[in-house]
Amino acid sequence: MGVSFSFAKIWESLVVGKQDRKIVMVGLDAAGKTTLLYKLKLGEVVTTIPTIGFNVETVEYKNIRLTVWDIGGQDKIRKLWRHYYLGTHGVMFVVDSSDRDRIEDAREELWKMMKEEEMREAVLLVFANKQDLPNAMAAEEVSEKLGLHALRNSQWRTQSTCATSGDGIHEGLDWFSRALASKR
Amino acid sequence: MAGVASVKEASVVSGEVDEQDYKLMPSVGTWLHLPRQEQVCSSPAGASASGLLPTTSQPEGGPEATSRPEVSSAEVLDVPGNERCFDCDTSCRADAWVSMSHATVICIDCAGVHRSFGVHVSFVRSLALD
Repeated sequence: MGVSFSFAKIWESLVVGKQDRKIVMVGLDAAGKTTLLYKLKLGEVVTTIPTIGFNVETVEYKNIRLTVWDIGGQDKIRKLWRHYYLGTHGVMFVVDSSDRDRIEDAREELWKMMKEEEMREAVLLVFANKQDLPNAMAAEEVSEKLGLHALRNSQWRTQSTCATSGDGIHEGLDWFSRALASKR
Repeated sequence: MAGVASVKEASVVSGEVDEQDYKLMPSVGTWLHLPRQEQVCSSPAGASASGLLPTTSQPEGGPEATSRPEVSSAEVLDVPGNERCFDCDTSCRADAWVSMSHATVICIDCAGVHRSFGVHVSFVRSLALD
């Protein structure tokens, strides 16, 4: 059983060539997580409503198959995020770059998550989203305000994106898939 | 988004303003203004930009000087007119959302549309989940 299972895994990685990775996508409410998920999955901008609960989709990107869990970001349901952490390889943390008033809340939530045991070594991709909106913070400013430079155990990157136009998404995924592929 | 347009067109018949809270009485009914919580944002920029928040409502000494009263979601829904979505008129007793910038109660579908404009146009909160 164990032998056949590992053989299937090797066969899959050699022939099919897809590695499976579990990703959680979190962030404050209205950051654009669901829009980003369906832009990844369908290449389309869908009309979304606030997510109560979660959406999950598998997205294939180059040699990697991502199972992306998009989890609702309203204040009172953020405490449910941790139930999704087990077995997570990577995090997509989505930030509304135009919401300067709440970037501090985003920082708190991000750090709370990255301090959890299951998440200590997860690869972190921050999407500095909504770059099309006026007065949006650039990726460097988002990194700084989230305090990412103090993050010790994780590989991280901040990617500026506009989920509705798709700008920046593929650059982010390129880095993410490479970082995830190098981890076991 | 006829609702947003009608917010802007609604004439304020009388605005009872004090330092604690206040009600606006537009032509379509009475509704309660919910200030953005201090911990979320100290300046209700969207509300003043939309012309719904009188500048006289800012007390001397800045917004930190007053303690805002806690308003329960039941109280918000009990204001006549708030039991239905401001934009599409569906009932939102069971699941109400609020555009803080426009001081309107809206349904989850309209909340989605409001959120797509960005927080500088409409800052949306859930009555139950935020």
